[in-house]
Amino acid sequence: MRKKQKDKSFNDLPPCVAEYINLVIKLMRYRRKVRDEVKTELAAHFEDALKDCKDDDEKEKKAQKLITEFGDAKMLAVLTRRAKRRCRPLWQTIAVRSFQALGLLIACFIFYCFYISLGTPTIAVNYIEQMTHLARPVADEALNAVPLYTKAFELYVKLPPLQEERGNQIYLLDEIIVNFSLSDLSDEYLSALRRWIQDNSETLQSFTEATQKPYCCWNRSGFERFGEINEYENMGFLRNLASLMCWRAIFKANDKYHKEALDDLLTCYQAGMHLKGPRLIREQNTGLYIQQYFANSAITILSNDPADRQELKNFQDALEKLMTDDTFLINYDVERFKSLDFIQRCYTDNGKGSGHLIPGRVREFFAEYDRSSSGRVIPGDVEEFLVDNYGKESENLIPFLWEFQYIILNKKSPANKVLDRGFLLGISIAGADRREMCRAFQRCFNDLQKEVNKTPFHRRKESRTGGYDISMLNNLTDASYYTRARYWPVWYFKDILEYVGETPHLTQCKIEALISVLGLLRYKQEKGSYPDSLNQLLANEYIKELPMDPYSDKPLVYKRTDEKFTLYSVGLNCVDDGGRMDKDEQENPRTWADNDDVVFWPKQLMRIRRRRIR
Amino acid sequence: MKFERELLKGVAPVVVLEILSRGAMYGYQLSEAIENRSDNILTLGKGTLYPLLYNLEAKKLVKGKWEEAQNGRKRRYYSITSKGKTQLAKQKQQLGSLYEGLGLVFGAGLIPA
Repeated sequence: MRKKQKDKSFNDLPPCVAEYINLVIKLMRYRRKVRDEVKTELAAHFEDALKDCKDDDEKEKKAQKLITEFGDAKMLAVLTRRAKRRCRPLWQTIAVRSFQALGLLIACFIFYCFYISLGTPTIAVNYIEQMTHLARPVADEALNAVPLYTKAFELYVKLPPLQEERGNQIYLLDEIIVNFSLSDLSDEYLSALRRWIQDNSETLQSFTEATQKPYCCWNRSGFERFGEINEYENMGFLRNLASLMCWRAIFKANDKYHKEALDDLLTCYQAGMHLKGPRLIREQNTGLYIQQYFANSAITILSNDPADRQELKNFQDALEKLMTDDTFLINYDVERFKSLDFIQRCYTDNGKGSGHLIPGRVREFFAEYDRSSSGRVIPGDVEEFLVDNYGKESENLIPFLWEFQYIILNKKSPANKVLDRGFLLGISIAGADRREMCRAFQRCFNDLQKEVNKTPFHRRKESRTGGYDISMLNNLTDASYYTRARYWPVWYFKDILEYVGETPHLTQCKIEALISVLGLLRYKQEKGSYPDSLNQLLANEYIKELPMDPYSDKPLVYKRTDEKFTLYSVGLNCVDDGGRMDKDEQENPRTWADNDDVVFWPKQLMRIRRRRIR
Repeated sequence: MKFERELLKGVAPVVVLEILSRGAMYGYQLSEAIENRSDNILTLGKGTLYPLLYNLEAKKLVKGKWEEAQNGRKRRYYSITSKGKTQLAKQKQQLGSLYEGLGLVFGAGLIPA
């Protein structure tokens, strides 16, 4: 169709003219409408000039002459284009220039994105070596407990899920914890527990040998993910082994083998010590929890059937000796190195990528929340995170976030892949660069290290919430959405930074309470009655110092009643509620509830939780 | 006659405006008119004529309008605008002064023998 129109516009003009005009039009490289107008005008010119020619030969000659007069086709095309451009109205010029500028910006942006995508991480500092140096006082691998713990992990036989039939309904017994009353367990359950302990005798042997080693340090090759899977698995195993060891102690005590039972508990305490000091937060926290298992189990054993005074004294002496080498303060040095190592593995260092977060590594940040086997983020965590940190109005963001999670973690279709890339690139560009992020994390850790020395009571006096006072996070709370978006990794790891919370103080309090209970039981056995006060116990050298309550910064509350006594902490509300412990709907004591006290003695045994499954 | 390019460059727009001030014309007509009226002394290159017309149009000194001839061929007629007329008057005055100045410098020598 276009060919026909072209032919018509040249009518009877010689082919050389058509060729010349077409060449000019082609070289003009301008809008079609303008080119068509120029073509018509030039064709009309040639037609008028050649109209008087008598034959084709003359026409051809004259056409050639005219073409020579018109001159070089390229020059004519260039001059015409320039002149026609000047004819454009102002609005059109502005629009064209704006589009050109926009195009240029987009091109620059694409180039920048490409430049960022090219970046690779630079491992500038060997943080792993520094971490290992802190966690391992001697390089002799024969003194490392890890191979023996690993052997114990391999030998470990799991406790099968226990079901219980009551009437027509079947219940699944929840995770066993050492606070349960043995009398609440059925014979079937008790025999299953005994079998579990028996099946793991080699496991516990290896575990015990491991605890005798002077240090425990896992070999690391670098933190490609913020939360390493091995880290979770190892700590999970250790908690299981500690729980197993505590159960064995409870059963041994029940069978009147008090010395062996208390030795098992001390083994458990030593396992907790292995994980404390300059180590990862998760490791230190596991160490603290293992020591809480120890304290709970010891109180359970003592409340069921206290051993004789010599066994109690030996146990107390051994525990006090271990405590002199123990620490209850969280050390953030290793966690700081871990964060810095993770940052240097996720960010580029100037050059290509210009210090930005590498888009392909963004997903690793979310891996911390990716705990489920399906690979999906736990939705509750993210929703809670949003509402807690961005306010109630951020609930509107949740549907978007769901989509975001879906794209980030479950990319399947090509469209999702494109969106995924876009998101990752956007996050990378919007975020602070490597240096800024390192500074932010350093500031957080500096503040955290100062904060952990304060007792919960001290913190509650300083701030209304009693939370950690981290200036970086406080500044971000008051900052604009843009600043918060820039430092989203810090914001995202807020919970992880505050992961340990008050656990160190609670653990220390429990252990000190246990030592006091040991002293009180010994006092009773030797003097025939309990002392009037803890000071009396201290004065008679049954304890070396008074047990302190981190929620009052005063000694724990001791009350003697006839032939019994109560020992408790005022609890999270920092108010003495007279030793009252709140109970949940299953009549189990609510430990560390915010409206009551925490009673260490008499032992608050729990009833086993049953979940109906059918 | 073949003029130095730079010499003709400043005069060509005035010549085109002058011719168009006498009536609207299309490209070929204009080219012929310049040659005829200058007795073939001023021959504006064809490759220069159309870009020149487009430039004058951009400056709003002339305006173009498409019209259909009897043979069905469309032609673009150019006519001088009021702005073009003002510009022409101004340039004509300048040319007169230039001519007067040149006459004084060259005297009779300016007119070829």
